[in-house]
Amino acid sequence: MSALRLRPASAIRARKHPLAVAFAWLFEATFAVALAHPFYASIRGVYGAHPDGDLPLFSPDGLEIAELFMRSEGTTRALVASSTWVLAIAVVLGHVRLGALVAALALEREDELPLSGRDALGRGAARLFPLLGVQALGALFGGALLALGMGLAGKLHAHLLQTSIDARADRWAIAVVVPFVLLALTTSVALDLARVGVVVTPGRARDGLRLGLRAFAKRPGAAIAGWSARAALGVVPVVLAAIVASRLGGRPGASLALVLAAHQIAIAPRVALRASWLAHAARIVAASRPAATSAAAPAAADASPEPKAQPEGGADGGDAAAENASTSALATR
Amino acid sequence: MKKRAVALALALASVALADDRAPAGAPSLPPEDTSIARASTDAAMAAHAERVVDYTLRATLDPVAHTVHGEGTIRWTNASAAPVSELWLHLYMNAFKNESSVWQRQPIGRFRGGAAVRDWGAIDLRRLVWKREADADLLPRLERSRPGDPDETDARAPLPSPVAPGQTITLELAWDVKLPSVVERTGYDRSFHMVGQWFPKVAKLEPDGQLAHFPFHHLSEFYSDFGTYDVTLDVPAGFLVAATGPVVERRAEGGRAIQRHVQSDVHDFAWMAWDEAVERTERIDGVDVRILHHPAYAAVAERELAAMRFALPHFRERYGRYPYSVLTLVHPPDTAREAGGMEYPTLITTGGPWWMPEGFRQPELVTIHEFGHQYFYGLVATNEERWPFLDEGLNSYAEAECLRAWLGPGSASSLLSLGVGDHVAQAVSSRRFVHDEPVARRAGDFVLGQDYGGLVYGRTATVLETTARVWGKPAMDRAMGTYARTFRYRHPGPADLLAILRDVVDPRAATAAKVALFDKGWVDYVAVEAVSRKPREPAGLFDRGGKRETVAATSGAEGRYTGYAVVSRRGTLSYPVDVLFVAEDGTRTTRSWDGVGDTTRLPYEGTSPLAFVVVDPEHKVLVDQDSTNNMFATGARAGAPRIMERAVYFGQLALEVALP
Ligand SMILES: [Zn+2]
Repeated sequence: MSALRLRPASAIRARKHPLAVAFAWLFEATFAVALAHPFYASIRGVYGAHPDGDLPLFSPDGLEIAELFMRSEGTTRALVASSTWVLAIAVVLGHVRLGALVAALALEREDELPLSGRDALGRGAARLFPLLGVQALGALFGGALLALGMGLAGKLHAHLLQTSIDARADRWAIAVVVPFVLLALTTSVALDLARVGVVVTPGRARDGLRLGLRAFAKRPGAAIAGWSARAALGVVPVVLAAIVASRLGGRPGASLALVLAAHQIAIAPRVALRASWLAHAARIVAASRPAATSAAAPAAADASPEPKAQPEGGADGGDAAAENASTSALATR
Repeated sequence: MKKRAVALALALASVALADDRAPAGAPSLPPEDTSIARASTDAAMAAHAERVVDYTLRATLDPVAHTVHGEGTIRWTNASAAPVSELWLHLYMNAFKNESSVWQRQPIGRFRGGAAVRDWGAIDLRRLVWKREADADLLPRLERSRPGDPDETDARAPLPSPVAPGQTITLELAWDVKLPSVVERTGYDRSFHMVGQWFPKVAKLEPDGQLAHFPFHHLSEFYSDFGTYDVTLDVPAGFLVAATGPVVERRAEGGRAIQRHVQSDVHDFAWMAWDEAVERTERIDGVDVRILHHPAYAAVAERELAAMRFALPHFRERYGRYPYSVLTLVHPPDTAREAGGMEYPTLITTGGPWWMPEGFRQPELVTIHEFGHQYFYGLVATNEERWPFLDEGLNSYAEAECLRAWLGPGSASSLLSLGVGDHVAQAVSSRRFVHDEPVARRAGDFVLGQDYGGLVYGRTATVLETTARVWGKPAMDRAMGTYARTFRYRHPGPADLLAILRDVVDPRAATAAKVALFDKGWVDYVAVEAVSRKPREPAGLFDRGGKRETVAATSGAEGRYTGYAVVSRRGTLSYPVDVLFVAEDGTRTTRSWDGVGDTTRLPYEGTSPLAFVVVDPEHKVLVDQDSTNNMFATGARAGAPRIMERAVYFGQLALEVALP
């Protein structure tokens, strides 16, 4: 198998890899079906006996859905338990998806042929355990931040309640929590750069982690702006789809088909935005590596001059500072 | 008018007493010609209440020590037919005095008042004198508790001589109250002071001369005689006051704000003082509506005013004119939420956090519920301790009826396309308690707070909603309107309600309500089976004309199908229901079943095979214990594509959060 190397930053573009994005969507859709089907089957088991099928469950006063929910407490508990397992498997395998997606976006073969799907998946699979490690680290750190924020806010809230109206105490508590939430979100941005580092760096995962975190430390503004812009954009299709779905309702037939279309049209750009963000993260990582530095000498990266952060153009905006970035060789394992 | 009231009260007392020892014993219905004229229009309503007890009180609040000093007089008339030789005084603030009170020693989970008392409360009677030629000091012989029961909420005051029927006496009294931290309905939370059940209150006099007295129980509310309250409240300047009745006099004096409230035809007086409150007033349907709230709660206060704009005329049309000139709403801070959601004459407390999103109708629901109590508690003054369902249950029905008329089917919450109706919330949440305890039970007899909440409120409302759906909303509106108008300023019992259901709606409606409320009545309609086939000649061996013939099975005539559906009624309640037949070609026909038998076979005939059967397709029988077994498919089941689509989409969104 040919060795893989990091593309020049300027060549890392999510839009050049529609198949990789489609794969990411398919992965998500497949697990969504796996999550949804037991609930569907259980509901159909009851409402399949109704001439209108599941239609009564959408009655405007909510009687049927409320009744079904109250009736099937045991079933629901079992379904939630089994779904938790499906979700856990999805999260673990999701790291392979992430690794494959990053590999497809950011790596190329030394023989200049594009990465095959097998190459990309191979790289994702090879980095599964390191990526899980990064995830655990990030969850621990982010969790600690949130716990600290909530703890402080709770203390302040209780203190303020002694002397002032709850609304004031609530607002102050929120004001205390928000920076911690933002910090936790920032952690998740850094985490993504670390993930990219782990995927694109040959050899020890620790070096990749260090590379990603250093890239974040060098250009936190570019990373946070790139992530936030895409996160904000990602809300738009969900809101639009919610409006469309509530207008259409979704009686079986054309109406339901339109709702399905609206929902999937909302999901597709979100998956693309995620890929675009990972490409952006990969550009930052690539740009943070000095020219012609091999992965075997990551320490050299320390000495490299810090590239200037550039304002982001859009979802898949250019990274002028990354243009002169290097390529480096790594082998798939 | 008075004579008629006494006759009525005697009849009611006999019903109440007859049931006293038999918890599940339903009242027997009075004969058709009841002694009271039925009031189905406002013109036939009583204009005033019988005046049994008048309070002229003065209260001084110390908001730092959280104490109230009170003094004044009680003018009490023996309106019964028997001499009265002892008075019973409710000293309910003593419920919060120590852990030996009935209120604190009975664990009653999952209802209001579950929080621990952070600061004890108490009431101390300092003076109690019967003013007459030779004043009689009643305090030395006052019996604050019973032997073996240290509860001090129900005090007995033996009188030196009996009070004759028709005789009026005057008591002079003085007392001190230490308010508890807000625990249940009353108390303080920082400078917010909700002062309810704060004065020595004479127990309700029954027609037989007995006083209906009871200790303050966790789940029990109140029961009192009508009269006039003339109360002067003295609070530090800067405190806004809300109280029962209109302000007739207001002055400032030495750093104190003093205001006098006078209200007739009521049976309680409560007040609130708070230096952080702001107020808004608005004249709605001829009533001066005033709302007091913290400035941070302005948005929910506006929603509550909007609720009143709809509710006042709506209740006037349904249950008769609101007879008082004022209605005051208090929105307590959420930290004092136990003071919220409570009704007093012309004064109600609402509730909910300042940030409550629009889609959740809690502020509107609580406001309309508490306002509804002005009718079902305030004007129709039932015994809340003996028959809590008569006020809470009827009022929960009225609340849901009003909310739906105002907000439509998603009246309890409505987010995007997901709505839940108030009546649905009541029906579904009360189902699980149906077999546990009877609805018509003394408040203090309920074993669990959740049973009380689910049954007294939700179950009663659902039984009444079922009545409205099965026998028609107009009939139910007439029944509720007649009941509310007939018993305005009176103290009816369950028999009166059932009699009106029987006479105005349907005898079966009254029977069902009685079984549902008194005997844990329940019902579950089930679609058991459905079959259809082409009719054909019987096949087999037949002896005809001395010869045995073999008749082969034929495929039957084309274009005609006959069959049947088997539907079952489980349980002890019986309502007529519709049964929907759906053929394979989509043809729908509805048959009615009187719901009298247990299991019945309903015939089917059509041009296409029978595909589905649904019992009660419109959910008229909202008390149906399980509506998920009301349908039956003969063959292929319908799909649930919309559920699948939604579930997959939400699964995708969830995965986007969970996946790296
Ligand atoms: Zn109530």
